[in-house]
Amino acid sequence: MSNSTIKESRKHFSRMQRQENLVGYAFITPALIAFLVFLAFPFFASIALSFTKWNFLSGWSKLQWVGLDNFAKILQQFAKKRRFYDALINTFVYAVTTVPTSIAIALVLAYMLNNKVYCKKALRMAFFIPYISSAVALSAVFKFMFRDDGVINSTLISLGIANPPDWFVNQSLNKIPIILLVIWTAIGYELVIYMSALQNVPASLYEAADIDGAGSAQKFWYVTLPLVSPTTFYLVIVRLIASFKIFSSINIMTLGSAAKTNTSLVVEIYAEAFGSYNFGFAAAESMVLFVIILLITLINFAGQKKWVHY
Amino acid sequence: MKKTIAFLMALLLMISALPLAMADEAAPDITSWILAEDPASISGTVRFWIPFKGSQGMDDMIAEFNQTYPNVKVELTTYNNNSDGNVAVNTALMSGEIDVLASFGLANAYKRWENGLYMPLDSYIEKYGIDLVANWGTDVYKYEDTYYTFPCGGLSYYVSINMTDWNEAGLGELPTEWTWDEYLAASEAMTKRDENGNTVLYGGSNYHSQNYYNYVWYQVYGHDMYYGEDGYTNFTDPLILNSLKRNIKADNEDKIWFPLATYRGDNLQTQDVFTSHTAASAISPNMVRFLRDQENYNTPWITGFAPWPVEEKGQTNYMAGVSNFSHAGIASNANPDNLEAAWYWLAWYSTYGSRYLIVAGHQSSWKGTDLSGLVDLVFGSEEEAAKLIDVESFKRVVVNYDNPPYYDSILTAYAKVNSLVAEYTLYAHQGVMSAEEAMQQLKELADEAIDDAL
Repeated sequence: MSNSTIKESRKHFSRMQRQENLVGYAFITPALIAFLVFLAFPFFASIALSFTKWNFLSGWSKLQWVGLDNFAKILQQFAKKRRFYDALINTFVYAVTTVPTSIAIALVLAYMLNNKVYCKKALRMAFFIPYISSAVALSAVFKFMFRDDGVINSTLISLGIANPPDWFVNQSLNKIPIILLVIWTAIGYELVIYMSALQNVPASLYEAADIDGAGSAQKFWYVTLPLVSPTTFYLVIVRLIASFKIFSSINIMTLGSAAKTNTSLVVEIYAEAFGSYNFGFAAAESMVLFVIILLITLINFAGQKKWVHY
Repeated sequence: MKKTIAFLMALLLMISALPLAMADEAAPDITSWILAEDPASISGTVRFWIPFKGSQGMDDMIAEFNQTYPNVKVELTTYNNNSDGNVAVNTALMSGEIDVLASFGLANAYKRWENGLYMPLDSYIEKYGIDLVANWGTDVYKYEDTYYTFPCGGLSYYVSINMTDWNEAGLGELPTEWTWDEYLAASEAMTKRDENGNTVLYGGSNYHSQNYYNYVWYQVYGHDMYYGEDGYTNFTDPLILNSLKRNIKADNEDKIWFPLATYRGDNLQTQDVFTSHTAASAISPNMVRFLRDQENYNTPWITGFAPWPVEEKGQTNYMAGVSNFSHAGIASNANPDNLEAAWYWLAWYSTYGSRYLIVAGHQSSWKGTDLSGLVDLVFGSEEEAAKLIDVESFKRVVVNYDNPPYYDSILTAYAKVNSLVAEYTLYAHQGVMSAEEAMQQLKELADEAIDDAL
């Protein structure tokens, strides 16, 4: 082949490549624009806002650079155990209670549904429905159920408990309705993921365990759990992130007046931004939340080597 | 002698006639600025936002306006006066969806003045020579020396009483003046308990807002419920502290008042508790709105009215009049093509139109309001009213414009202080901290907010 032919074919090839690339870019452009507009820009704008004092009602002209003042105020609130401190503690409580509980329940249910069970599809759907239902509607229903004169207390009274608790007033109990709602709605998604994971566990391993004389509990502990550990790891990360962002259930159930003992970080960020219009301070709080979630995720990734079996 | 007597009598008559003549000259004309010279020539569409529905007097108000201004179309939008509703309003203000807005509560109005969401009215006030004191009794509601709204909506504060429970408890005539101790004693008398000692009917209730215990300051001093003489907050003053403790005791210890913590925890409102006969009486500024809505709030009893209790008998009761509550103004992003129409709507709504607020349980604070026929406006007729309420106590207590109202003169960091009050009051009611601790911390934080604002 002559040099000119080679050059021609190279030119032709790179022209084709360019055209293909352009087509590729054209396909990803809508998604890229959406990503830039709805994710990237707000994220970087938020970082910038966290160093300012700004009330969005007053317009851009009143934006004021304050450096690290917002973060200093957050530390102060933390030191004096004010609202931010309460929100942080409550958020950790929500994470620690809802994540392992929902995952454990989902795994047990998935394991049961993976065996021969009547109405498997209907049961699967029944558990999945809360996940796809409107969070606002579910929160309103739970709010109604846990009211002083709601279904839960009426049931407790009929069971002989003369003074059932005032769930949303009692500072020790006002997290419980929220925790129960979060667990109930999370189970559906985790169940479906686990069912898919369980179906990928080779049956031959269970047969081998049978031959070795393992009982059901031992098979579950030594075969099932390790083999679904990557799925468990994925769910832990996803659920932890979601639990740190808990908002709609608290906001609806308390209708904007979350108490000291059941507020969360995102509820406080929302109140600071849209209640007090301190967008700069709210952005700083959201940066702190981002760093906390990032650290927890990194710790989980570092720790996965010990218990996740690929 | 006779001539002397005749001369003296004539002199006496002349002297007695002088005050009348002077009064005629001194009384300001508070109506000359309101109407356009040629109302029919004013045209446009005014987007008016208020938390009341058309059926709560607003449709009738607009219809009456259109009798004078037939070419101005007023589009009513009803918004929820809660935290999310007010966020929606602020967003709508910024995006230019509102021409005239009625803000409810000083905290909401203050935020909007502070952030330039209302158009300054100073040029109109100057052009038309509007005397705010003569029109609405005060000229203090401004921000940085600029007026943004007219304080045309008011509230009267009263105790609504289930007369069946009142009479069963043998409490006699409705009081024309009573103290807090007397109201608590009446609440105790009307409270009913089951065999286990649990309250099944609360004798009384304060309003479901977290700051009603602060209103004792208004009652005693007539102004500025959050602020002391030094311009800083008064939360550790014995008057406020005792009021808070009194509320907490009635709610949580004696259990004769429907608890504030349950109101907030279960998101209930006072009208729900009173009209469902969970409480025999309740302090409220707007119960009338619900009493006339028998379809949704059926009350198979006669409701009587008693005034706001006082700290000590014989004190002037600044809570017994009609005090400013809502503020109306033109949005800073109002449609410039309809500005003239928006101004004349504002002028009319904040004066003649504001009397329709009574249908929704509020009041007009305009000094030129025609007080005759207010019962008919709310209930249709006195005969219809008598089926639901004690008409005499309604006129004496609810629509009594003779009693002095309270005013605010200090507004520093008002919105922030108000929000802190809501937070720390609940802490005290929920037992998270003692009343003293809550008020101490509240004062520290609120004074910091005032310092930031100054």
